Amino acid sequence: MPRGLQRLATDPRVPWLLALLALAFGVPAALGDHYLGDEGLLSWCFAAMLREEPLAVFFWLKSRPPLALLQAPFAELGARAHAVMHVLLGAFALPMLAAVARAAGQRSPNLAPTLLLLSPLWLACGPAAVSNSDALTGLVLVLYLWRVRGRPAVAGALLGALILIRAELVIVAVGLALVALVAKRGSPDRARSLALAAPLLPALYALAGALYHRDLLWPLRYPPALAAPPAVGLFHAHGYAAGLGDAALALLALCPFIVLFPGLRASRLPPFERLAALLVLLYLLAIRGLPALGLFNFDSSPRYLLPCLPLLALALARGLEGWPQGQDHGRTTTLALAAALLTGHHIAQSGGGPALLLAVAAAALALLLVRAGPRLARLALPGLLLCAALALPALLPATRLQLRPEIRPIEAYLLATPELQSDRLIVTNIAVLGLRLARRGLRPPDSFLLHLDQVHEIDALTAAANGQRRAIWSALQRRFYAPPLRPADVDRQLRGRRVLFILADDPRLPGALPPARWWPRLTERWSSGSAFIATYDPQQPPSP
Amino acid sequence: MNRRLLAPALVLALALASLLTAGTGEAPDRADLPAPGPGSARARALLGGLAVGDPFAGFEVEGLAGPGEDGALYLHLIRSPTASGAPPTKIVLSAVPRGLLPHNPPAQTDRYDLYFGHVRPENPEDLDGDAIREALEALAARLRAHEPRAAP
Repeated sequence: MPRGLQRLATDPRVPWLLALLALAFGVPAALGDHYLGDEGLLSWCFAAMLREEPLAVFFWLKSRPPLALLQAPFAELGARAHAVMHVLLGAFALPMLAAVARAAGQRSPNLAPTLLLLSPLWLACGPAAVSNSDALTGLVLVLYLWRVRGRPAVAGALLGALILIRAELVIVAVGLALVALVAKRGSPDRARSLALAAPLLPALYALAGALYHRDLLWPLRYPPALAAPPAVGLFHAHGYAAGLGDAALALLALCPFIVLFPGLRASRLPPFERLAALLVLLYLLAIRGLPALGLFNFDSSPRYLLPCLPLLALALARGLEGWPQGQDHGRTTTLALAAALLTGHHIAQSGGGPALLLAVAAAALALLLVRAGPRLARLALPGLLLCAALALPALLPATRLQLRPEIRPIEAYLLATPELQSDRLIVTNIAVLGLRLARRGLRPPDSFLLHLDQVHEIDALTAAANGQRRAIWSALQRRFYAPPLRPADVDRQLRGRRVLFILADDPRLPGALPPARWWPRLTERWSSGSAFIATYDPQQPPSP
Repeated sequence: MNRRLLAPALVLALALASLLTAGTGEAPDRADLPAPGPGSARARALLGGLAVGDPFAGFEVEGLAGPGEDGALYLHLIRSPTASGAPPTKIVLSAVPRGLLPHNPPAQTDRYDLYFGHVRPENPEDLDGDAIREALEALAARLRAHEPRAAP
């Protein structure tokens, strides 16, 4: 490898430079609301709610308690500061991951953080402030404490806390526990200590919660999410009906190099990277497979894939480190590319887009260079990294985290029609609208229209007997997107009032705003394909 | 030629060939229409809660689509064949904002011009003008009952 590239691949200052690049992308994106969405905002709401009702929120598993506790002191700084903080924390993952790769003996320890930086999903999740990005940063810290600082028990305890933030990390924890079961006592990586420490914090938390709930089994009665999706059409509309093309695009948004992952030959990976690859495989299968079996309730949002990215980056970086010397994983790599080619061909011919085919073509070209002699082999990896960087603008929309496109037209319409807002209640079901309208100097919504399944979820995941449910509803009233309006209260609270509805189309809407009673009484003012603005005036008779 | 180059070169060539031919495969049925599904909340509200599988003017609702950016709403209908072995008869009714299309609509409401099309198979024996008119009138009746007032 040329000395310049060699230095880039190994210099310990480079990961900090990568972190600066991540900040250069993430901070303006956070301040400009480019990835503002309901999930990130909800994370901020939980932190703010914890200040209002500390016990009720802390022992409400849905609030991701450790995260809400950590973020609560900063909640008063606002949602944008919250997003910027996510970006800052996330950037630390890059130098930590480089340190892990270095400790694992990788020849190019800066490659794994470069792969992380080139993940469209990781880049978007930071300014989106979703807890999936916190789970990733936490998991990198776990690896760092375990592999770099030699503190497996502390790492295990942290892993346990992460499970209380993102329940899907239990897949990684279970994977590690299984490895620990077969690990020899006193083995150098001390996986057993890590696995044994993992249940510690969740157990202490559950015991403390038992005092609050007066019920030892409370985590089973009030889990972090409903075990089954609510019985509305939305779940299928959002996710599992999504085809192969969407799944491939989500995986490419996770890591554009994913097509090379199945081509890693396990026998050529050292034990740590082999474990990482195994956990990635387990995670990807479980995150898509468990909901299909009815065991978990994840939809198909790409962000759920994120936590396995550091492990994927470590395994891939090890697999690719021999490329500059013309070494690859041989037939396994080409077979994996051939399988991806067939899948990509099927997707493209079905109208699902060329993304996977382009990724395969880039990887095949790079592999060709690797095998074409030492001079060309040096170009393969930098060329592939450049391709991934160039693909970022095309793959960022596949993260499904960008600000809803109808927000800006709604703002423009409201700015042009101030008379519609005066003397009317503003009701919306768009989570980010309050923050956006306030930013434009407009009056934020008076009420956030909840859907039936959202009310059901809050009621089902909170205890009524100890007052938790009442406390949560009370905190929501003050610290939510806007004060929540339950479907059962719609008629009572809105009839006789002049109302401006700003609503996103949603299959659940008829449950909250019954069409037979409300639609003939609405006057539509503006609409796009996915949202509309309508007014309700009680003195106006319904349309025939 | 180095034998190790053959496999990635072949994958690259096939990937490029596939990229060049992508999109020339047979278009899915009714590719020019938004795919039918359970329908958006607005579509179902405009149609009074009409759902997939509901009977509709001698047909069955196969799916709803829209309203999209252009405000058009599509109702996909299907009817089982009378003769065994024959394909089912399909037709799509559309409701587009008045004046959007230059064609004379066979039916209208206050807000929508109604059309029909995408009949499958071509010239089905069990689909005559009366059946289509009946379906359009049923759609117009539903829209008149449920469409919100037009923007002033």
